Amino acid sequence: MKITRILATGAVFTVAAGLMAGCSSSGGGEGSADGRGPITFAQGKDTTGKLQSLIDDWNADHPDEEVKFVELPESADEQRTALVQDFQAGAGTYDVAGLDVVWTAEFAARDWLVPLDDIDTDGLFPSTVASGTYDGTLFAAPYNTNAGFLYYRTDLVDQAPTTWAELAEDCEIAKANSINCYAGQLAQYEGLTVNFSEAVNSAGGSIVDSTGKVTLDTPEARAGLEFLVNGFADGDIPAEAVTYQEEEGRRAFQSGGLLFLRNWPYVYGLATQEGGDSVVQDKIGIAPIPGENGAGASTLGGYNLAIAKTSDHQQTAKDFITFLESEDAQRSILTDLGLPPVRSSLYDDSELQESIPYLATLKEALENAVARPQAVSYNEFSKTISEDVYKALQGDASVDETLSGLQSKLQDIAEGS
Amino acid sequence: MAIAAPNAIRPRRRSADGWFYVGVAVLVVFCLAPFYWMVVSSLKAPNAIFNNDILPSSISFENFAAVFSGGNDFARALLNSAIIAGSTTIIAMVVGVFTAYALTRLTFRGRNLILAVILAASMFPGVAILTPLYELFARIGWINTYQAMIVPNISFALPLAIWTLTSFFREMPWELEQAAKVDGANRAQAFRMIILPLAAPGVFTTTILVFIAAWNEYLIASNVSIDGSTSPVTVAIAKFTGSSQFEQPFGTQMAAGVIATIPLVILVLLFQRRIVEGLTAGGLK
Amino acid sequence: MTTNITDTQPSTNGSPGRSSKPAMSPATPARRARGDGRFALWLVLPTLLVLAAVIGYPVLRAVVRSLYDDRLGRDPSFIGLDNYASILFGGGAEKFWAALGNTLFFSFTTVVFELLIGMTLALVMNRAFKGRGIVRAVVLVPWAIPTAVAAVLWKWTFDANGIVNHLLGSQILWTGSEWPAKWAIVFADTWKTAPFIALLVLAGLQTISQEVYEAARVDGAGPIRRFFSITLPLARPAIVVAVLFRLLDVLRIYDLPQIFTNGANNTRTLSMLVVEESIGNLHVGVGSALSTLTFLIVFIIAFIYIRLLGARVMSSANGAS
Repeated sequence: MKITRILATGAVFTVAAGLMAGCSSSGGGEGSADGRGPITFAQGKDTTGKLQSLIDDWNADHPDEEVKFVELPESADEQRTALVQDFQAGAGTYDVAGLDVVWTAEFAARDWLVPLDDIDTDGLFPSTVASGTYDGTLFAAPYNTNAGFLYYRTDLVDQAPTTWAELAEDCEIAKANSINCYAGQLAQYEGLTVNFSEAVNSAGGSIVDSTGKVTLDTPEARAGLEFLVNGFADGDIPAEAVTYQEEEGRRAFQSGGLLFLRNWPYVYGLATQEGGDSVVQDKIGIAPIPGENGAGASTLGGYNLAIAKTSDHQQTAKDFITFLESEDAQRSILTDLGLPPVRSSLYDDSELQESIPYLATLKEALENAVARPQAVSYNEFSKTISEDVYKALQGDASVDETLSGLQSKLQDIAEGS
Repeated sequence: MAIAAPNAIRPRRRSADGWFYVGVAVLVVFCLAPFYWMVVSSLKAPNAIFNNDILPSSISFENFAAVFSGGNDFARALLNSAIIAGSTTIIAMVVGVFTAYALTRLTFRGRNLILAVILAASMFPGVAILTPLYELFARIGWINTYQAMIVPNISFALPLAIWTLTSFFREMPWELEQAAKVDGANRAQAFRMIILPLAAPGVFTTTILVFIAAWNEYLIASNVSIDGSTSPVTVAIAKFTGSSQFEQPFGTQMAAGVIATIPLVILVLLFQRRIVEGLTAGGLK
Repeated sequence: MTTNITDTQPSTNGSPGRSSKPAMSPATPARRARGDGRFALWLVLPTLLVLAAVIGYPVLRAVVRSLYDDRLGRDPSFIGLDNYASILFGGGAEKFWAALGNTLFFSFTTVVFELLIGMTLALVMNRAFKGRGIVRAVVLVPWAIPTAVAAVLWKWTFDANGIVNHLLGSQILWTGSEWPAKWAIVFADTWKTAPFIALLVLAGLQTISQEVYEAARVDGAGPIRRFFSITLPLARPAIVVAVLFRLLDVLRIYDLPQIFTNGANNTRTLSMLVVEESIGNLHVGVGSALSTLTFLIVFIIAFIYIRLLGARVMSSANGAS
């Protein structure tokens, strides 16, 4: 029948087109290293709306090299998806992109980013610069940073604990007041990788060493995981903490149900807000997180700035990045956008210290912060960690099983990528 | 043929009515309770989102104001959603009706194969389609355009539209079409004036379902409408944010959900009579 | 040849009477069939073109890609069916079979509940009563809420300190344990999509004229008998299509479990696995193989479903196939 013949011919053409398209390599042309001109800057939505005024300042000074700000979705995963889709297709939609600190290796290894060695990183926290470095070259320049705090109830505890043993002792106070003792971000997601990494680092261990080899079969890693697992077993960490992301923990702490909470600085402003639903509004203290034998090592958070390989105006992009790292811009990032800046000198500014009470604690935390492993397959790495640690937290796997399992799985992933 | 006494039936019906209304109430509560919680949550102050009061102790419209605040451009997003969903529905329904007509009324070889192929198009996970489509659209300059969302939406809607319309057209009394032709109408007139009115419940139902599906599409839209000028409501909501990247803007999201649902409910209220009553057939003279 | 329209009786509400016997089949002259073919082609072509471009092309690319080891890092290398072997029997097997089991569980339970609730809703909306119009609009609300917003709503509702535990007086970890999470997801998905079935079945019920019921009532058939002998058979085409499309959708379920549990406690579905490999781990070769396998599974289930229940679906109005 004629119609079947026509359909068959159409099918053959579609197949042929599909095969041809499938075989062609993705990736558009290389951009221009010396180019100057208008650029597009993409990052997750600016929560305050003040970033645009910062950009307007730049645009006023550079009328031929205007920056267009494109907002990506709020969730980090979706930002990553948008960037991956675009870089994979070589579509060149973005010139400058805000990358989470853990994406550097992933993006750089796939040759999607421009090396940024000629950008001056003096005066920035070394750990933030390290988070943007892959294979010895800077690919993502520090933009803003983050570290975790221990929030505690000043009406119940005079001084924050500095070691895990002290924390366990203070849990008696929590029991006496019929509230839960400690919680962090312990649901099965990136936050668990952050908390696990913190626990291991705070015990003096590491997930990977400086050569990239996985080091989880150590007594330090064991101590770190035991802190979390035993916390659940002893009831110091409530069972429901296994469903906590950042907001659930904040809710528990704000409603007076927790003595200690590990969380990011953002909680401070919200929990001390007058007129809100925080019942502990004037009873909140902040301290660096405790470790096994002394102060702990918080996990480094934050965002870096990278330039897409496909950008035609890379010189403008580099200048824009330098602009965002300048002291004035960083100051604005702290005061207007509410994000911890990467320029360390700002933390010593007495004016700023007055207006932002946690600034000194934050500086201490940042100086001791340790980044998560730089892995080309970071996503797979982190997913494996959060899945296996989650099972251990729920008592479905022993500490030893979990660590030896992670040791071999993570080593395979690190070698295979 | 036994003829039951009419009186015997009526009393039984009356007591059943009471239970009937109880049943209706249960179903209405079932459908609305979570939506009620959504509305209540949106009316609580942004910093009171954690409390579990069933009736909000104080009503605040801050969340609704936040939805329409400067950075979100939500009014524009509503307009974009209307354009995208509207275009998708009109085109998909027209094409669908023609295709369903061909598949039910015309005999040709390969008809079952075509039905199967159309159905198979609904069997792939959306993410499988995403990357190649993005690359294609980037290459032909369709990023940030309406058609980049309308065309994929049409292809998601067509299988549903065609299969539903096909199953309704199959049940139509086609003898009437024959009769109309005998009376001098051509194929198109017979279709338009006799069959289409009878198929109205199915057509209007499919129209509503297609519109809602297109209105709620997210995956493709979020990746191809990047600069926000053509973003529909679903993408705008995904960009809502609290005071930091970690704060969940729950109140604002719920308020936006309420706002995004209202046009659809109005649409259904307008069309619901058409769904059930159809149009009295002009087909019978 | 003409059909005797006096065989069908006009009804009081204007729609033609329907007998429960199948429509008569007029013989179609062979001359007509050939002309039909070309005309049909023009009517069907737009659909096929759009589907080929938007779905066919990406799918073909995915199938081709699934034969390569491609991690977007170095050049992809051809490995034939190794990705499939690894997913079905090798390193990826545990995750795959678990995801398949979860997907099948979600699919069959939600479809059964949705069908029961959806049919009840349709029967209710079919009856004339005061406020019927509002009830119909109300019934559609769950379906109309954007999926992501609904998922966030359910996540907070089922939070350990959320409204559900508050009302039940319990402390169940809905998002933190396997079976509470699974049932919560089933409940949330059923709630959202029962209106879809309800609406389609309602449209199907509209094609049944009142006289058929009258005749049966006069014959002494009770409401249950009328339901099983008249309502169910005559609404069957609508029910079959509604359930079929729900099945296709729920076998690819992604948003709800993703936002609810992020896949923890064995709630990962096939689509979540595809996203995890394709976009998360950037193993696009494996991801493409997974999406192809998902398609095959959906296809097989749809095929079995149509075979078992909808055999008449493929035949045409006049009885010819």
